Amino acid sequence: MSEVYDKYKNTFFESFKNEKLELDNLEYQSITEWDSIGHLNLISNIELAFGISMEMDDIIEFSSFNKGKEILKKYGIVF
Amino acid sequence: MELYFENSVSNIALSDEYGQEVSYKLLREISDKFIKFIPKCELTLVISKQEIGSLIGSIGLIQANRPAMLLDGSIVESDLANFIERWKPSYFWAPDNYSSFGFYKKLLCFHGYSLFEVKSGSIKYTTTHPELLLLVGTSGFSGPTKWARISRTNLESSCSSILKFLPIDQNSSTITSLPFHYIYGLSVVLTHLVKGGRILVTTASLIQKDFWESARKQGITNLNGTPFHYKCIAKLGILNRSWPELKFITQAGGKLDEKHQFEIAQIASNRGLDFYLMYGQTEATSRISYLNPKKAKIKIGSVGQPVEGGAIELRDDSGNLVDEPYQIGQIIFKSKQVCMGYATKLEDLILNNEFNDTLRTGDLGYLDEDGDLFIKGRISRFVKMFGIRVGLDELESSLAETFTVSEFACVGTDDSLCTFYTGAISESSVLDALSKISRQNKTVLKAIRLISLPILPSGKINQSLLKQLHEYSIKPWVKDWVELDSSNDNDEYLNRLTELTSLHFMRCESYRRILHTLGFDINKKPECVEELPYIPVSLFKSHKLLSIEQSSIVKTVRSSGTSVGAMSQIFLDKYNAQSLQHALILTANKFINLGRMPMLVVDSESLFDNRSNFNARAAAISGFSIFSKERLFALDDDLKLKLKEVEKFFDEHAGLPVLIFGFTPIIWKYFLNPLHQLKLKINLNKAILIHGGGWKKMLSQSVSKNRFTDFCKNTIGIEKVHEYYGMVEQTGSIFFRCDHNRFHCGPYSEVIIRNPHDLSPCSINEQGIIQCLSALPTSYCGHSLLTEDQGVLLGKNDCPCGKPGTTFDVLGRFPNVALKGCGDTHEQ
Repeated sequence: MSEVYDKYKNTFFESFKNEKLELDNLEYQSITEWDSIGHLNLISNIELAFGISMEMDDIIEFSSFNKGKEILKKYGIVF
Repeated sequence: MELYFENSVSNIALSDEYGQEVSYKLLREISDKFIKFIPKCELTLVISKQEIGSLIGSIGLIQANRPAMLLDGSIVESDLANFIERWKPSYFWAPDNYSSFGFYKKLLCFHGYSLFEVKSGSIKYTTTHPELLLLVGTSGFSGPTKWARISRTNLESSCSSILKFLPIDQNSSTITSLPFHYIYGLSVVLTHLVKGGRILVTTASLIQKDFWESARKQGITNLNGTPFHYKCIAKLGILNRSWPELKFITQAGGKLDEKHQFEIAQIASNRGLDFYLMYGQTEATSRISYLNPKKAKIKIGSVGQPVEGGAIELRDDSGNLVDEPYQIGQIIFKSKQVCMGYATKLEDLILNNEFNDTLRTGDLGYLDEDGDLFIKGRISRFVKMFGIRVGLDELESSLAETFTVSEFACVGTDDSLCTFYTGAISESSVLDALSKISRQNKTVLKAIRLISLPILPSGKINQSLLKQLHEYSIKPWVKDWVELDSSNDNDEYLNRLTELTSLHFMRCESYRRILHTLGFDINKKPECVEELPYIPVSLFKSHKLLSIEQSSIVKTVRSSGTSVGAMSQIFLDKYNAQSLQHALILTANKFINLGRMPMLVVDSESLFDNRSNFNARAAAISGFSIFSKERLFALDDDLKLKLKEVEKFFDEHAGLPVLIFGFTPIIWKYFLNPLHQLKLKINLNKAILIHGGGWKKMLSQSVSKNRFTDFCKNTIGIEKVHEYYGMVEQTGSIFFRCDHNRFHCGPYSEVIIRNPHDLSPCSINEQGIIQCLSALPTSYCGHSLLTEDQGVLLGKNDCPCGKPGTTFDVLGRFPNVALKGCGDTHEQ
């Protein structure tokens, strides 16, 4: 997998402080760490890692690991 | 069969429980008047209610051979206006006091109903096809959009075919248990009238004792009902009571489940009653087939053979005839009863017969070797999930076989299937069974428990409400400001709130009991937001008012009032939490137009120590944090200003807009005052301050609203100060104060001020109790709440600031209500 993808995955691992997370089915509120607070941390970590600034609607739409990949495409991030 | 009602033996045609009577002679007189006043082919709209006055209008028009559109009388008046605009009837038959019609000319008046003349010389009104006699809605909902065009021939054929098998004569009498705008209900009335029988009209419903008392006292000879009615009959043991006059009972309007069919058939045969199970459709002008009563106990599940003059054939997907017994195909009905076609717009009323006596029913079924028909569901009641066709009817009956004490109703989309169920069975066992039967993975399935299934006036299950419920349970509800705006006078907002009432009523036992206790009638459709049921906000302290399973709760938000002991609690599931967030963004952006910016939270991060259980302050901070790009908590655990960090924060963002957010008393005491005392040189002229909550505490410190704002602007140098009003019980729905000192309702919210003595709605400038409405709460019962705050209504869409919405001011708490603003939680 690409470097970008690794970076994306690592942001999740770091944000939720768990390197063994099963990411493929990971959704907002599916683990206790990804609640509303965890969500904002995750978003700011992603923004930092990729040097982007996301729209509010996209932040809300960012409801799963896979959905997040789609959204990042809007910001020119190619997986 | 002539639709000519005259009878020399029994003179009374209709009577009701109030002692009103209508003779056949009067029916004749009325129709003669109709012939005189209404030209041929001009449409009359009948407001159909379970009242003698309404019914004589329909009967009169039919006898007079004048086209009538039968509209469910529970339609709200605002819908009615649209309706009239759309169909342009020349006349109305409606209650005398119908305010919408107040300015039209009354031509006739009988039993509280009048014939109103709508047409005036200048406008061209509808002309109908000469054959057209009735327009009957094809769905069970009020205000249908698709109408069956029924001709006089259709109606005559229908009456004559029914009378070939039902033993109705001049000694027959029945009680109206079915609405008259519903073709089954109407055909029961007409078949009695052509034979000179008698109809007892009542407003009582089948589950009320009055209904049965009237029926028995009057010696009613036959009963007609839908599956819902027969479930009530079975439950109440009606047929076990002494009722010697009762000769036969009929059932149509949907499939009676096999258990009840057997039970009713058994009781009927024991007391020598004939039980007619029938199958029909509006488009077939009522009855299509019936099961010979002799077979009622043997052929469980069958609806028998076609009525006289009709034929049934079955066709497969490609249109080929299915002629083997037990092979399923679409039921095609051929008869003179089949309506002319549909009308969805005015121009359709002049169309010729398009169906040519052939009706594709959309129902699937098979014939057994005796030629008796069995219905196996509807073509459209299939969902194709991941390529697999899942029959919802089949699913429901299989589930009902597995769990015999529960009822089931399934709805589905392409990627999610949901069953609603009643009774004390666990969600997981339902899901197990559902997964096994549907052969679908549990991740795409849902099971939602309801206290009871929602039933339409026609007795059928309210599918559209269930679909809506299903949608709420699989995705957050997001509606744009433009579509749903409480400041517009559209029905969307009212419909949404009415839907929320039904949702909570079906899902929350406590809410249901509270509404009963408060005397709200859930069956009455509110015509304006003021008529929506509301509950006192204090009930959230004593009751868990949630409409989701405990396991779906992702966040509990509690009021932070510590002075009064009990706390309010509200429960959010994943989707409701998301829709609240969406709503907050839309509301705030409508008002302030915030982008994302650095955010200084004037509070301590320790509020978030318990992440699944927020207090009001934490919930608001968490909600507003969506506007943050970088966030600093300005206070430490002891609420001391973190001076160095705050200075650094403003240095880094010098000259840029920064959002400062917090609770009014906390900002005042722990931020503004220290800043002032320490004489810090921070440039805050680009800052936007948003604050709310806790005015009681401020006032006790003699800080008025104006003083707070002045202090921010003149002493500290923050120009943009925005205050909001909100409460934990309606998280996500907040009211911003504008420059003209008025709180504005947002797109999701509305405010009503109520008189503290009789709770009637107050007019502008009258003080009273604030009632808050919010279109957001789906997981807890908080969409319509009577607060403990005193307020005054200031206007609607007329604020000098130019922003839309109802505007009001909050004047404080009611004196006897304990002090508990949500910013007041910090105790000294």
